[in-house]
Amino acid sequence: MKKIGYFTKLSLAARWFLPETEAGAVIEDYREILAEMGEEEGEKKFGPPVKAVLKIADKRSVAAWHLAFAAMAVLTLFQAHHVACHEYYPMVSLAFNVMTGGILFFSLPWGPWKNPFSQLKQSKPLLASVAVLLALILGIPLLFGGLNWKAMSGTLLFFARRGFHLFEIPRYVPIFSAIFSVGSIVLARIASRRWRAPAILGLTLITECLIIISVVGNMDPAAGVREESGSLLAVIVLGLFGAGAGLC
Amino acid sequence: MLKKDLMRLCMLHLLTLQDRYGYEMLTLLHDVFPDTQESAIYALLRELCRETHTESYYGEVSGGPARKYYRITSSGAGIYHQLLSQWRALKEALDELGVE
Repeated sequence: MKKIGYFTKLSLAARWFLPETEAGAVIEDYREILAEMGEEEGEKKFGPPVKAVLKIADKRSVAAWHLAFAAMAVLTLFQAHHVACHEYYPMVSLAFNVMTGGILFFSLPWGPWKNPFSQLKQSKPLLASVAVLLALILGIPLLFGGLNWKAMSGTLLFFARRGFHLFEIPRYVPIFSAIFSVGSIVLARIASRRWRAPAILGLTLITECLIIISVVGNMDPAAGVREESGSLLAVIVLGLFGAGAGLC
Repeated sequence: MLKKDLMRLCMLHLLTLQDRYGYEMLTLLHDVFPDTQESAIYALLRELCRETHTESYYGEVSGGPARKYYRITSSGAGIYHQLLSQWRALKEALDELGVE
């Protein structure tokens, strides 16, 4: 495995601890300094990357960012914990995700981008994540809610006979989605703030799956679809709007 | 006057003479304050920049990548004169006491 160099570690630490604009300036400085003195010598003189960055960081902004990140991680992972314990609260999930989305928007800076389209083209993992999440966000409700329930039961039976229980999809997806969202929040800080978009889509997927579980668990699923289709649509629209804003 | 203020004074003084790049500043100041870590010197350099007493720009270097230079701003010049008068007052006080 390729060893991560001192400069790379220092760059990651700078992006994590410092505001975006300052991180860029600091990374440029260190690139130049380490090019002159060498990475080994630099490590000796500046010490561990985190220590070197914390020395120049504004302590209050570091504390504020960590507080914001902790709040987002707790609000997101708490939902995964609920789902893992077979406790499904769609409205609590919606409230938590709106709070997380709000914190995410206000804790990271906004544009302007120098060259938005070329930067977006360069980020293939980001685009792939957005595409997969969009497919899941639009595909899962179509699979469960959009279809006629009687026709659906035949499909479910078909898969169940082959040992694959379709009902398990909305039960497992939120757990992975929560972990993915927290990872995306980390990437939004250290790689590109556009990772806000997959993070928000991941949060949308959690609430969406919980609404679907509540429909599937309804004594009369068809009535459940009628009751919840409005809130499901609202969640999807809210998520897509948030993701669009996150890409800006 | 704290050591930190003395280092700020030295940094601003160096920048009043000419614009300099980061590594050059670190080397010059580390020679004067050898017991101070480079990371601490760099932290002060960043602090001056964050407080808008200095600003950076990219300068041309023949046969190499553009180098980031620092220059003093008008607010930096104000702080420099303030620190310089503090230093002179301290020096006079020490001279009066016969400290050499």
